[in-house]
Amino acid sequence: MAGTSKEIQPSSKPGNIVLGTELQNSLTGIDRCRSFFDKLQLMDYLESINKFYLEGKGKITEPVSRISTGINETSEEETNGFVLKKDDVWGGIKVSLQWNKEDGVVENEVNLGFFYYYPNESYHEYFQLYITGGSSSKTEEQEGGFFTGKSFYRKFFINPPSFTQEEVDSILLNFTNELLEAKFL
Amino acid sequence: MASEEKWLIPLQLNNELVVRNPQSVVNSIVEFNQRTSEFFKTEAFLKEINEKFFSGKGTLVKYPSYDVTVKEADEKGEKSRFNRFFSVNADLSYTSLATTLLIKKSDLPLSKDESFDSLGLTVSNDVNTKDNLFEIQTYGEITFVKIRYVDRGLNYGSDCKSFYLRGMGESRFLSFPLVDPPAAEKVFQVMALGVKEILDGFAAQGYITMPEVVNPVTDTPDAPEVPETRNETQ
Repeated sequence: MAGTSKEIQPSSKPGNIVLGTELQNSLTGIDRCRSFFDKLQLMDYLESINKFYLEGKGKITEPVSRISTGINETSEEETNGFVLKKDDVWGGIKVSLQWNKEDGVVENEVNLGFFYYYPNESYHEYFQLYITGGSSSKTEEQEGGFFTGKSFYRKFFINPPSFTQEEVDSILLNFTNELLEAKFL
Repeated sequence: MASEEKWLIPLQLNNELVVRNPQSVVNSIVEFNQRTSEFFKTEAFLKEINEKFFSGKGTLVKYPSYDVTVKEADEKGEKSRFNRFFSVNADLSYTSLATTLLIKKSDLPLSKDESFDSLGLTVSNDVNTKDNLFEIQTYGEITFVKIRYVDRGLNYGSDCKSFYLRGMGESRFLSFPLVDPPAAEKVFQVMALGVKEILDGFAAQGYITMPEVVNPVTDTPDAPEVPETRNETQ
């Protein structure tokens, strides 16, 4: 077993790692998010949008587990390590529903995520339900050699003491209305 | 000329390096993002917008971060008294330096929505490590916050608040391969045009006033300058 802690091995070289406390928490957070995701049937939401509004033409991605962390600029020593800091750290899962408009240029996307935020000095731990709708078009500059694009999005964070199914359903229903108003669907 | 000199200092990012030393990779990418931010004078650019549009009342926040995609193996490893061993694959997805100009509603001269909380304009420099792409993204966001619950019960204490946050925003992005960057002035022009479009959008919705029009065209090819303003209307 590798002796160095807090090191993340990228996928090109898989292997066991020894986890620091924060990373352990991250993975636990991901697990907790996943169970909420199932319980609240969030995948069903995307599937129903795909079925009822997109005639099944959209594509739903597999759930992806992600963690993110802020890097403290002021502490040189700490940024030298692959250390997850307690502030501004989240872990969770995310899925996307993607589809193209008829013209094939505009790409629409609904992202649905459930994230766990770790407690820090200012906040207690909390969960967030995160939903965005984005529309982007990508154009390739012939001379400049780069892609440009634009998107617009709506997002919702909710940080309740407890989730109820009704509460989540109402948020999702409102979001669907927003998508319709914005002519996404 | 900047374009000939390959303004983007080559970032030696390849899978081999990521595998050998992930810590140094995160560091070098963060540094790289900081250099590009300095190169494009992101701070000065946002400060200028702050002065021109918001009477200097906004604040600038810099936020470097990195994002990792985690794939857990089916089987978790041994668990001892001292350590837990997971079998985890992790991809460093991207490393970002975001600089945000944040303006509170109370510092804006007009606002049509009572729950409107703040307006943010962010320029982020991201390195997408998987595809070796560099991306400059500008996004503007209007945030609405509602405090909904005050008491979470005995277990949490009564001072804990729950909030409901709604954000709406727009973004403009530009991305290109790290190994083959376009001319710097071209990048800056596109970015400045994106900022202008976003601010125009906010003005059209009545969240800000547009006293002047930002001119996205810079005069100096070597070092991008903060855009000048001129009195034109769209």
